[in-house]
Amino acid sequence: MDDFERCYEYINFIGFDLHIDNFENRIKIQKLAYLFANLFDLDELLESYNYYIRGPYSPKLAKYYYDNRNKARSKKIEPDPEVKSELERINFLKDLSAEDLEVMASLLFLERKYNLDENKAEQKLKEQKPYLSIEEIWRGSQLLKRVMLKPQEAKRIINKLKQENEKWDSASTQDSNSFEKHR
Amino acid sequence: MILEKENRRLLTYSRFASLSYLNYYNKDGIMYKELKNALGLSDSQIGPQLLWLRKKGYVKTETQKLDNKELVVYYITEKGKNAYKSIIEWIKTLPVYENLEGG
Repeated sequence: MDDFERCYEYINFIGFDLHIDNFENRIKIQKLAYLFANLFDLDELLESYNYYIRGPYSPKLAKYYYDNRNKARSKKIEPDPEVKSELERINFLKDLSAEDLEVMASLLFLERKYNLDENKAEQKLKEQKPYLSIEEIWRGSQLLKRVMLKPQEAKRIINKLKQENEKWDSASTQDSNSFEKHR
Repeated sequence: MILEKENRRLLTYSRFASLSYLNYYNKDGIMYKELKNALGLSDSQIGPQLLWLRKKGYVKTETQKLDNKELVVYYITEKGKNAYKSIIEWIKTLPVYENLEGG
């Protein structure tokens, strides 16, 4: 199974309607596939993406879905257990609008390809797509964090914050004790 | 190599760049606002050019739904693809003087 097929199976697994006869679905498939390629390290698919006027877009993926448009997908293929739990975590993606997915995929592309931080990527996207409102970009940014922040990574960040907090707590306890002593 | 007379009329910024983008997005098409924004043109600049391309059969339009909004999507036609290909082939035959700093 190559990256394109694997990604298609993942999109199918979250319950997204893979019909490509409508314009909206094709946009959503392109953006979902870009997010999945990043999440699941599908390098061949990832490398096929360019960024022109519609955010990340892969002509190779487009060729794949036109070539396989009649392939029946009535049966879901069960992915590996780790992939499955990730897919279950992010299956809310299937219900997002094309615009949300476009903002998310575009921000991710700008952050990764040009090594931009979150704020810079948001600014650049606003320059490139002035018709998007600040609220739409902000919403996409929050959704992207929810998708890309894997549970292990979230745990690591929380632990780090906890450790930092402990230092502050102990410093302030010492400070209070010393204040009490000198009163 | 000489470029066919009919295709010479495609060599303006708005016509050629539109055709390039439409060829890239091929069957998936491009929304009007995306094209306008990408080319940095106003409605009055790009509108007549897209109309010309459509009347000459290089592009076609369809109304599509996106997030419950109806919008016009542009697609390249077979005629458009052939014309674009001819122009690209012709550009490759042009002489290029790389020493642009003079001398």
